[in-house]
Amino acid sequence: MESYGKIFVVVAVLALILAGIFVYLFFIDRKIGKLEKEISEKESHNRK
Amino acid sequence: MNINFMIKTYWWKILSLILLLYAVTYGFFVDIPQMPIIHQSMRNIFYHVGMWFGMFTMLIVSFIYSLKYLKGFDEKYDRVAIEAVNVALMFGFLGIFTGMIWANFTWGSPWVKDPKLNGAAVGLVIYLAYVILRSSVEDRHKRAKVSAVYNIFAFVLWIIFVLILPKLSSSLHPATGNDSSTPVMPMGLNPSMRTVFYPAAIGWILLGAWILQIRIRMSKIRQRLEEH
Repeated sequence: MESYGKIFVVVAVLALILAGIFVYLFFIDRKIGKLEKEISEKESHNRK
Repeated sequence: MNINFMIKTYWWKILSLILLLYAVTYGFFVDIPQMPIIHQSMRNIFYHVGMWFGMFTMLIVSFIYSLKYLKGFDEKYDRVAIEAVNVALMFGFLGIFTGMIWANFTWGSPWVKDPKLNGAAVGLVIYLAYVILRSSVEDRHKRAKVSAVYNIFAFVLWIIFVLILPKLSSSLHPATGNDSSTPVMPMGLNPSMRTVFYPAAIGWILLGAWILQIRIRMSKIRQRLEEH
């Protein structure tokens, strides 16, 4: 590990940023899912 | 949300994360060939070239959906075509800018007069024109038709400018005319680098697909809201 001159610290930071972006995307994905559900409910309500 | 549903809908998104986590970690430690000038920056192949793989995949998707649209004029295909171009442009700009950083440190300038670079720039302009063309047509059906036809030409032009013309002339950029044998690029990529390059490329493509899916769903919601 020492021979890499602490590059692994940078690698850990990058990995965390990437994971963070994916978690963020996941929440956006779920939010859109909720919107889709809401709009479907409204549409079926309007039809009645 | 139950676990089966989660796995069913999210497996390829999770796969993308795993592949990219692998690429940004092992990509720094995998053995690379010793080469002058480029040195450790060769590892950029995993990330910079990944952007172009992402862009090209999105353009293929857009092309196919424009053809599908022209077959039956079903608007849902037009929606995929435009959103795929939007994601392709994101990849394209990231590809250009990451390339400029890399070029600055290997060729001494962020932009050199080179057929591959100029081709990539023209390729971006072609698709920016697609977006502008769309915004300039008011009628929805007309817009979809005109832009689908343009998109087919755009795809052919992009391939000519980015993939074919640079191969026919000499270029500094690897995987072009005069150096088909460089150890640096995908086709001649060294075996240890392939163990990172291909998973990375698939990871970037899947990430693009995820963003595309989000954009399409947003666009559908917007349309449904307009209809009420």
